[in-house]
Amino acid sequence: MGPGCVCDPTTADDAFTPADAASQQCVLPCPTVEIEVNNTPTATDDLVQVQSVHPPGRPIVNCRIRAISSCPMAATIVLTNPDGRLRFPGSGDRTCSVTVPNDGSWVPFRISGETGSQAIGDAVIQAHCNTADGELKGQKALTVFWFDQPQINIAAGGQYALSGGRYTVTGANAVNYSAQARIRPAGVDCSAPQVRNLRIGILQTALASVVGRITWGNPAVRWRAGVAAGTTIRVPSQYRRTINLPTSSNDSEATVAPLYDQPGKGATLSANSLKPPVGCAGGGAATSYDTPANPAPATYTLPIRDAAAAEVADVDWQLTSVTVEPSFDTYVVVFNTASNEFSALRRRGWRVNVNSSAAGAQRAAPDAADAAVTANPLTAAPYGNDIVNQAANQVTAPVDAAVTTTFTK
Amino acid sequence: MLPYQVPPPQNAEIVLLHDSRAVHDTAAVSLAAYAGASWVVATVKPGPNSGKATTPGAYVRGDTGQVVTPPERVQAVLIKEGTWQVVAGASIPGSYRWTEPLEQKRVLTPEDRYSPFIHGGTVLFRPAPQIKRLDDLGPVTLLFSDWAQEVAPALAFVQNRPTVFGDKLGPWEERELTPLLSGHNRLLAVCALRSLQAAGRLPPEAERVYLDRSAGQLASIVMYLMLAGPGVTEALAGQALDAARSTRDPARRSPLHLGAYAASIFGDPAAQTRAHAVLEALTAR
Repeated sequence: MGPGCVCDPTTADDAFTPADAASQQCVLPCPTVEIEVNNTPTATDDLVQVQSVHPPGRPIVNCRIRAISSCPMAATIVLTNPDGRLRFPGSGDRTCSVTVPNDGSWVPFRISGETGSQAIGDAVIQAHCNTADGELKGQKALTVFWFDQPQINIAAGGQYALSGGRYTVTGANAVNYSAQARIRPAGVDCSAPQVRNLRIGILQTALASVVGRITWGNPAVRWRAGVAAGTTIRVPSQYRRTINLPTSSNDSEATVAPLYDQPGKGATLSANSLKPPVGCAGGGAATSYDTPANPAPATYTLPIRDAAAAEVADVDWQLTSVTVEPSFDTYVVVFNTASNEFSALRRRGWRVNVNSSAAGAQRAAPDAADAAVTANPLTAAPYGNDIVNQAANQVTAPVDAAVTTTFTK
Repeated sequence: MLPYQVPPPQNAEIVLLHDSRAVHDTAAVSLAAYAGASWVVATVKPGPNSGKATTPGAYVRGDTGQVVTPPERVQAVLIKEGTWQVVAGASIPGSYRWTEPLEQKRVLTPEDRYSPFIHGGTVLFRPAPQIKRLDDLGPVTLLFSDWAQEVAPALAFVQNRPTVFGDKLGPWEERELTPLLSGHNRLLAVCALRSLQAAGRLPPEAERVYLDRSAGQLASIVMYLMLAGPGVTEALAGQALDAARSTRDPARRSPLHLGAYAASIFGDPAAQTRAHAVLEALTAR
């Protein structure tokens, strides 16, 4: 506030001097104001995305306000949102006080979406003079867009079988994903900057567990040349490789993280793994798939040494069973391809608990239905397979060191 | 003719996987990756330990049955070792030995599905003085063994026309490619078909006619391309399905079945769906 400004003091009884003008609240009639959402006069981008609960996050939209009627001095404008759908922009910021210059220049402020709109333009920013209940000097209607009907569908695919040295599903996938959500309210312009980079995608957490066991047994000996007849050796009767995921982790790879899959990347699985929301052009179900599998070499071999450390034989254990045992939480998310930020909308668990020596069809088992998200999906590296492939998480050892088989040449 | 003398007769599952990878690899072969370079077609004979798992440095004390492992934690690995005999190309016989970690993978590679270095086969690769890992061989293409003699003329053709199978298909390339479809070199025919299909220069009905006129392994590869090749359209897949439905000769179903099966293994989910429809049609009779 400049010297010489004529305004009423906040308390009529107080003596007013020009020196006080810089520090005292002015209650001059405020100018009429104009507000632009997303810093444009365009109505179609008067949008803000609703807050994310999992993970917590608030997409921010930059806005601005200016005086459009003459006023002798800058005025204090308090922004409010009576319908409660907006914040300015933190969760506790229900109002925002801005000083609007009298020269018509813009003043920035920011908003976020607290709750979704039921209709286009039902979230209103009101500009009040000096206080939240002061004279209304302008307002702006906008829309908090959100997503309903989120679905993460997981269909069990083919049966597990030993094939080519792997215990896997051949000619199909263990599970097929289909994820979708609809943008609301109806009529949101999907070409607006706040919407056009949003896609529906899939994110997956691999849960801590033993993810597989490969067991070899029925040892057979191959004696080295020159070993004397009557030589006797003992070997473990069974050998097992146990693969462990000690901590839950994001089931992803660097090129597609934080999602499980993205099209056009180095580790892409499905070209349809990101889709616009239903309600936008091209909207539909994002799809991908997964087939957790274990290498299953038919034979495990080790040399045998005598007490003098000379190699006298090789022993081959034959594959007797392989298990695949991982568990997952899979999410349908809204993903911003520009910022890499996401919001989880719905989750569904699934697991594989298959055994090559078990009877009956061996398939993945998805949960019967999807469910509300109750925890934040994991996103940080290292990713699931990187952890599993660390030497510390793969133990190859006798099943029971005390149980041995004896061979005599 | 014994088409699969190498690898030697094995169980039916291994033969099917071998043939499926050969269909995939031939359908996807990049002749430009070999033309002008040192290349060899060789029959690979795996050693007795190839395909076995072991833990390097570990051993069993025969007197106690105790397993002794190296002090540093070592992962179990897969052994690949053996020798090769040259069938075509300028190289001398060689040997290979490397190990690979037993890894969890997001996507299985063709080598994971069927390894000629474990089970044998006829492969096209670029020989190297020292072979310590698979990548030292450059791109490895598993071929049907009786296609080996078609490699040299195919590579000579490409060397003289380096852009003929390129990404851009102009009128000149199209004129060059079309006669290859009816030529005697099946490798060139496959590459020409793939390029024309990718560019949308071959009507689905014409490709169906080409499938009907193809025989044996070539028919398998044409079926594969119609289901899982570049530029597949629903119309093209429909022609493949119609071909399967209208095939009355049991002997004719076998190559179509192989091509569709390979597409179900190596194709993306959409190709898998198309392949399953063809397989169902072939087995419904």
